[in-house]
Amino acid sequence: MGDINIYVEHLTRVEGHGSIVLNAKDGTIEKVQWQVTEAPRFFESFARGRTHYEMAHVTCRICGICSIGHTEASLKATEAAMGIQLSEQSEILRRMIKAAENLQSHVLHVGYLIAPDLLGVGSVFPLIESHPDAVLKIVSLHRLANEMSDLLAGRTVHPTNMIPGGFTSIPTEKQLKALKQKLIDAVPTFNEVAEIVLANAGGLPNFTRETEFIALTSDDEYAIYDGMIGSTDGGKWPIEQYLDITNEFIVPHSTAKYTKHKRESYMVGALARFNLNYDKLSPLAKQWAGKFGLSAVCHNPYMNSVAQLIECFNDVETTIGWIDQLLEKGLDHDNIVAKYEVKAGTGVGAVDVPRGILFHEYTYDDKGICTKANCIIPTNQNHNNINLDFQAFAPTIIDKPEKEIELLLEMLVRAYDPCISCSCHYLDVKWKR
Amino acid sequence: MTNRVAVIGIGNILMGDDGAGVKVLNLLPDNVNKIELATGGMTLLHELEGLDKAIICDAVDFDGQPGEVRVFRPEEVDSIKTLGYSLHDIDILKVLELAEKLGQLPEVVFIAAIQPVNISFSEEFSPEVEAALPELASQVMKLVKTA
Repeated sequence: MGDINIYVEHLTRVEGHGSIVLNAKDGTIEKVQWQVTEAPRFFESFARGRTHYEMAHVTCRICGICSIGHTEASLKATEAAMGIQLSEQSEILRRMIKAAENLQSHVLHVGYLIAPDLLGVGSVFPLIESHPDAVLKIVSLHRLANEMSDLLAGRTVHPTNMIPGGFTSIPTEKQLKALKQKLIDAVPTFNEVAEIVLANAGGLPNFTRETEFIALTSDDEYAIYDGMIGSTDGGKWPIEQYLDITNEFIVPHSTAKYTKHKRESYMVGALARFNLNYDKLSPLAKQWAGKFGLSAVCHNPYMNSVAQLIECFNDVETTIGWIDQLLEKGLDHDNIVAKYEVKAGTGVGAVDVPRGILFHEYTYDDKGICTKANCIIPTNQNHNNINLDFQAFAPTIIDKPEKEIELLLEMLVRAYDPCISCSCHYLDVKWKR
Repeated sequence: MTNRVAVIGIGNILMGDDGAGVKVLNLLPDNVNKIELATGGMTLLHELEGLDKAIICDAVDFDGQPGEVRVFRPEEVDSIKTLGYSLHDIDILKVLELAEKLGQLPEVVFIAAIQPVNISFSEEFSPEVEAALPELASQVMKLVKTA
């Protein structure tokens, strides 16, 4: 058997990137690694000195995809630090916004990154030629999720209308009714996209490695906005104890911090939420889980993408329920933000963003100026688990052609939907001669 | 029929010169249709739909002089950015290509580019880029005004 040397480097110059390394001699793996070199973002340094009012607007720029999630985690940390109580209406609207983000991110990820793998094409571009209807459906669902975010959060990226204590504006009843109808009308399209994925789900490798899953969990709902920290190895903890869960540490081959809890590593994200909150899924979501044969606890990381798809149904159905709840009570347009006094304190905010559980913690002085901040993002919590998956999975595929090994490892990383370089968006071009 | 024209700002204001495409929006008159896309990536696809003309402001490494402003059409360049594993590192030229294939690309698309010097964690621009922002704004306005 020949030697194998795989090095998949996704160089993007300044900002972070992840690389896949695999070296094997005579069929024996000498090294297999997921390497991350992410430029530190010095979160604490840019948070310090900000007013409590600015924090969400600044921290939401950490990520273009999870902009809403960062806003909400940030606001929750601020609200916890100052003891601000949200109205029931605000709580529901925040949940709907969280669902909109989840929907938007999952549709993109499954539609633009996972579908090409499953349909055996390199990217979404050949998919337009081979499966134009599918791409148009995905685009229309993505558009709907964006419209939902625009309506509820003011803007999809870097939302504008959420502030400490509530909102600067909220939608009208007429707009909510229209949104509800659009969501109902979109269900057949979601079904069609799910059918396409299901028909090609055989392309997802059957790889299982037991690990611990960490996500928000709640007795009342499928937890993406609120809850306690839960583990599939047992146990629930208040979010204030997040440092006891994440236990960050550093390794030589990565500039991103690694985390571990009860085992060597843990996984966060849609599959973790599914594994911890399965009972709370909406009926259609459960139905689709059944069709995919996905049950809790599933230890195949490739199924994270399927869990994302199942969550889309949950997001649509729960949002329809929340709209009904709001309409039934009638919208209160006069009290959309809670009154509060600026005061000193420390607070933790956690939400489960599309890629997994996200923590923000702030300390404010008595003028509401941030003196200390911490942020632990989902992707960093997954790096260690990806690495251990590599070590377990690579020996089982080492006799395959090199290109296939490479693709399978790439698909594994993609399944985690990592956020390794979302901080910059400059273009790098060369002139056509 | 009135032409639907928008100036779209792309970049992260927390990443030094990367934020130039967003910051320049502040220098444009209020009556200009401005869209702060920032780090929105694929959302660009939906912002483009229904427009007749899109002017995309972005930091672009085109091997120019620090702070140099250059206006070009997407078809004049090839992206040399390698896409990674996630949605975060989206290449706007790829999004434009996708829009074209879906028949949703505006008839006229310009990229109003500024050569960055420093793209790293900072809320400050490099002096060259800071000094060139008014020039970028003026180039953008010329594009807005031409039919």
